[in-house]
Amino acid sequence: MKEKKTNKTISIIVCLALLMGLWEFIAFYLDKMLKDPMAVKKLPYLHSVIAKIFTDFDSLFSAVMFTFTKALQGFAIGSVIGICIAIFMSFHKSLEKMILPYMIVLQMIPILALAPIVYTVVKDSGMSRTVLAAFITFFPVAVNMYQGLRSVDNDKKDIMRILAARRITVYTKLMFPFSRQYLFTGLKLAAPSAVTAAVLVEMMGSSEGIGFKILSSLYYGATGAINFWASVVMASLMGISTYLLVVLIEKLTTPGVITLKTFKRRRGAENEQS
Amino acid sequence: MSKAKRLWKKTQDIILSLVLGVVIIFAWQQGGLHYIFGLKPYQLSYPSDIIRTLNDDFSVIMSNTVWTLKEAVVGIFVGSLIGFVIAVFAAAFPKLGVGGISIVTAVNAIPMIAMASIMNNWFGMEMASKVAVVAVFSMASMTLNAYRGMTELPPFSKDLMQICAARKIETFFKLQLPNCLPYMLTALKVSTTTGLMSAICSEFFTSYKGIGYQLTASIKLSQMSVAWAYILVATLCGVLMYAIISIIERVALKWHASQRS
Amino acid sequence: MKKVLMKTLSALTAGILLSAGLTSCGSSEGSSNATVTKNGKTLTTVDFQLKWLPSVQFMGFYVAYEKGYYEDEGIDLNIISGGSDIVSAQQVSIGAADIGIANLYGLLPYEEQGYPIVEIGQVFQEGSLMLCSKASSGIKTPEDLKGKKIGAWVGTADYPIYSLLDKYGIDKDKDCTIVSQDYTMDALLNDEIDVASANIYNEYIVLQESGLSKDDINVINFEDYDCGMLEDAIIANTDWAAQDGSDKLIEGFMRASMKGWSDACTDPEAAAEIVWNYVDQSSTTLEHQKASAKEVASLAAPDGTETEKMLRLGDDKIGSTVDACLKFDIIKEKPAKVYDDSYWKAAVEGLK
Repeated sequence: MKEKKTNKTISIIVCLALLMGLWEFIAFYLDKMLKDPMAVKKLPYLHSVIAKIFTDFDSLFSAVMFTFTKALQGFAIGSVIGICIAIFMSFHKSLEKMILPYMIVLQMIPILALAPIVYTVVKDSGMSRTVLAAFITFFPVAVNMYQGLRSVDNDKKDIMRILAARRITVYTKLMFPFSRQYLFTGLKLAAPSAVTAAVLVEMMGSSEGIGFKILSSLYYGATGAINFWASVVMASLMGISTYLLVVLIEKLTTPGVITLKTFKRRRGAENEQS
Repeated sequence: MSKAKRLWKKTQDIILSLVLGVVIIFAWQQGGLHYIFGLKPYQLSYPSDIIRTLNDDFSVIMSNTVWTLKEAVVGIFVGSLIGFVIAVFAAAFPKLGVGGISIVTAVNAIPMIAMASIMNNWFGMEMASKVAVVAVFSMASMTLNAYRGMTELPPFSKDLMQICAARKIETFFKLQLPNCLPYMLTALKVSTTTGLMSAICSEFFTSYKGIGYQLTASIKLSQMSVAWAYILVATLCGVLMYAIISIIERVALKWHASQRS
Repeated sequence: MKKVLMKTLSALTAGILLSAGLTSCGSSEGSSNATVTKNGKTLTTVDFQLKWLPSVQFMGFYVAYEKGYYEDEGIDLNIISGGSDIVSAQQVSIGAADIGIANLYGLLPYEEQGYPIVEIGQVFQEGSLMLCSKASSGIKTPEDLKGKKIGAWVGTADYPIYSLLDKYGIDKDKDCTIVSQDYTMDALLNDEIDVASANIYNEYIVLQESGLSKDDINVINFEDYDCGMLEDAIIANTDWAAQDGSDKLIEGFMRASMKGWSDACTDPEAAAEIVWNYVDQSSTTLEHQKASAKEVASLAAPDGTETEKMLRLGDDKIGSTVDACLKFDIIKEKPAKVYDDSYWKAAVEGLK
């Protein structure tokens, strides 16, 4: 088990190194071989981006924390809404037929058109931003969770029914455990998009955050080019972190594989060793 | 269940769905939505106004829609293909693959505005840059799902293949690929809406045609009925694409638990 | 079948109840302004919506804010940053802000359709928009625009271009391609488009910072061809303005802002240093902000920086912007009330 984990870490590091090498090479190719005057805009050297992240760490870090908090809020609310809708749809197939098309319809309305309506309905700018962020994240959660609930074998459901189990028991004992992995697939998809959502909401006016930085650096042109890429890298890192957060929660809550207790015990053992 | 009964059930579903739609549209047209939410007509146009605009500007709206639809479909196709190939590689070389998958996820977190500007710098302002944006986003969802489908196999099935001395390629075609199919279709379903949406959003930036191009202009100048006409058309396209994938799913996955009634 | 129907009905009821609950939460909030106490004075909070990111474009307001001019008038000004996905006229009309900044020609359709907003002051007395192209392209006059790809901020700053093209008999749909431009000059630098829209106070400077000298850039200035349209206008929500005490607040806001703009235009460099604390410092430089501030000052104070000349509403210039909007179908007829200069006049009275 432990060996497998170190393998994964090594694998991530190797992939990352390959990617970084490729980035540096393409940047070099654009800059030196093609002599592209827009090279710094298209893809600046990775090392200069990393240097920028270090020299500008305080400002970037506070922006990241601002956006990250918003993203987590939107993610939490969006996931709860998504799960609720999935459960609701699973009550009966007709409900799915009724709701799903309209959910897709809702997904297609651009935020730009939706924002004023949400503002008018909610009447509070902080609240309406959270609503919009949740709005972007709920869909993959709902679709995947519903997929899971639907995939439960009818035989199993029938057995529960024969045993005269109440509906709530069928859900807690059979449907939820079965749809867990689907739910987590949905959550993993939604986690990075929560970051995108938070950035998108910042486009509606913000004086801090990663979105503010990206927009500013685009607006000010060449002087902001490296800052632009540094902000994009930070946004992606945020995406990975939210993703890893979901993975961690999945690991901790998956019964049998590794529980919180065994996790703690193992951590304790590791600490003792070191 | 007899065939007639099943057909009757299906019509029921459609009728139910339509009834809900008709109720909503009726309430909307009669000002119910405006009353409940305290909206003014200029914030949310009435359905009759939207339909009138759609009718008046039909050819312009259609040519813009087809434009965006092209970007979305090509983008989803290219992106899903690349995503699938990455997933196959990751599954074939698990040692390197695990890490690769984790990194692909990060792509999903690149904000739209950043992705659009990067792609505009790389591929110019023609269709290619929008296709690239759509492709990148649908790639991530496909990779994640397909990889899952190829690695999370039924218990002991891989062992069974090994016992039968199946070659790697046989295991892939006979076991991993079929197992992967439902996951891939789920990814495609998600990609239809996000793909169309990213095509529209990327047109907000540098473009000269398409739904997104028309949308920004009309919203900023408060031509709400024009904006909602485009939203309506975009929505119909989204639902249509989703429906197509669902039909494919039904045909291709007759054996899967999720398709049994 | 009966069971299905029952379930569906109960589900629907639940949904309706939920949405009803949501609305009741929303509408319970009042729209009257909150008061706060600062330095022993009771101040009324006024929400002020910018149309874009904090920058020297709005320097007068920041200067007034930092120097405490708003507090002197009993106002606690809450400056709300703008962004790419926001329409400030819309925000003010729905009450998300009380006062805001919007393009005059973007404001007119909202006024025509009956949104509760009106213009109360004009920041820039001249249009700042120009068309930039690389000198190598040889585009010098509007006639040269025929058959070219022209970058425009569609929906916000494209109508001056249509007006110019029309004046020179170029059909905007047939004789050239209008390309929606993002917030960068990259499309021009990449030679994707032939001509790009630029504001004299930012994008023109960005081009020079991107390695082009002034001689490398050809400029078509809309003001030179009488096609300039007015931009940054101060707008107020009329429902809010009609409330008790609001007129005093607006008057105070105008007076404080005029003082701020007067100070800022007198010493743009000092103003740039004040605004510097509000911008993203890793994206831009103080030099850029200073250069930008000088251009902004010449737009806001073309005939002198005296306080009573600031934010002035001139009938002639506004009239020509309205006429242009009528011509290009942005509006069908002239709105009953384009602007209301009573607050500005009262503010000037109070200066004496």
